[in-house]
Amino acid sequence: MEQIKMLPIDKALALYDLLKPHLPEDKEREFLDLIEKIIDSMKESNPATYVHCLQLLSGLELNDFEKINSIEAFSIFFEGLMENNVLGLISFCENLGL
Amino acid sequence: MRSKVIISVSGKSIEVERAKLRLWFDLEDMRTSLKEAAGKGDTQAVSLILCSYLSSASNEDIELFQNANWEEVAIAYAEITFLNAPLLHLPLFDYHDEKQVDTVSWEYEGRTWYLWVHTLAKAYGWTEEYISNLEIETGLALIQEPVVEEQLAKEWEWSLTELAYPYDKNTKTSKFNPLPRPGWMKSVAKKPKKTKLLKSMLPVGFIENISGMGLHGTDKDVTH
Repeated sequence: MEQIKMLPIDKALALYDLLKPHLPEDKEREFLDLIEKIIDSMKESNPATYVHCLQLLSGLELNDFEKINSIEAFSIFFEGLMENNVLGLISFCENLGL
Repeated sequence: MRSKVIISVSGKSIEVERAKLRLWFDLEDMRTSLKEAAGKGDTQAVSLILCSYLSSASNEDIELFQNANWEEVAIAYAEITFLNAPLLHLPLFDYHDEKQVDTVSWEYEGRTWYLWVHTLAKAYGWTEEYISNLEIETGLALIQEPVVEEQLAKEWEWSLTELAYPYDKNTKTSKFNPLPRPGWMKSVAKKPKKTKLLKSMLPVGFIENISGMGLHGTDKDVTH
């Protein structure tokens, strides 16, 4: 697996697009709390979004996910959002009017 | 006023100079498209417009911004929009008429720039090249002046015609009816003065504010 890097603008905005429906309404956001709420929301409404996010963050193909366990997947999700400064990304996208 | 800014993208330092009128106009056009795309939630279009904006402003290849990480792009965008923000707030450009204006049959994409050039060239005799290289504030302010002058001249001509003095059969007099001004030339309504009331003059007991306006001295809708 490639090292997780900060995404280019097109992929970062695509990531925001995936996360947007799962963001809590509360604007006072804290990183760990936000991750928990996003995952809970994805589990409830659209688990496929979680895999799409993992694909964007890691660059892995769909087949590759059969080889990794749920803890490794969570690690990609967590590190990916941290590396991509997800709170900054959300704020930037909201300022753009997305 | 800053005349340039240095942005850092993919390990490269780029000096970006403040835009002149023509480039500024194109950049503002892109920002309008960006807002529209963002309103539709079209992230692909937004990322493309962002990179085009930075490429035009910095005179660098678009690929440089497309391959850079998003944070560098976001910071560069913020820096450049701040650098190119006009320092003058002109009523002609700040005013937004809420009424929907019908598109005229001679309208076409990109006409606004030619309208600006026409206004400036007619008023000052400048060439398009000269107008394109004007400072942002100079160009904007000098567009407003001929428009004001033209409106005042029309008002003067209007005041000399009979149409400006309609006859009222009831009062048997003529009253001056001024030529309507465009919205941005109308005087701005002043906020009403705050009137202080003695506490002893207020109603006693529970007050429910149904006016939709805050109560004097408080934003609360209900008070005791």
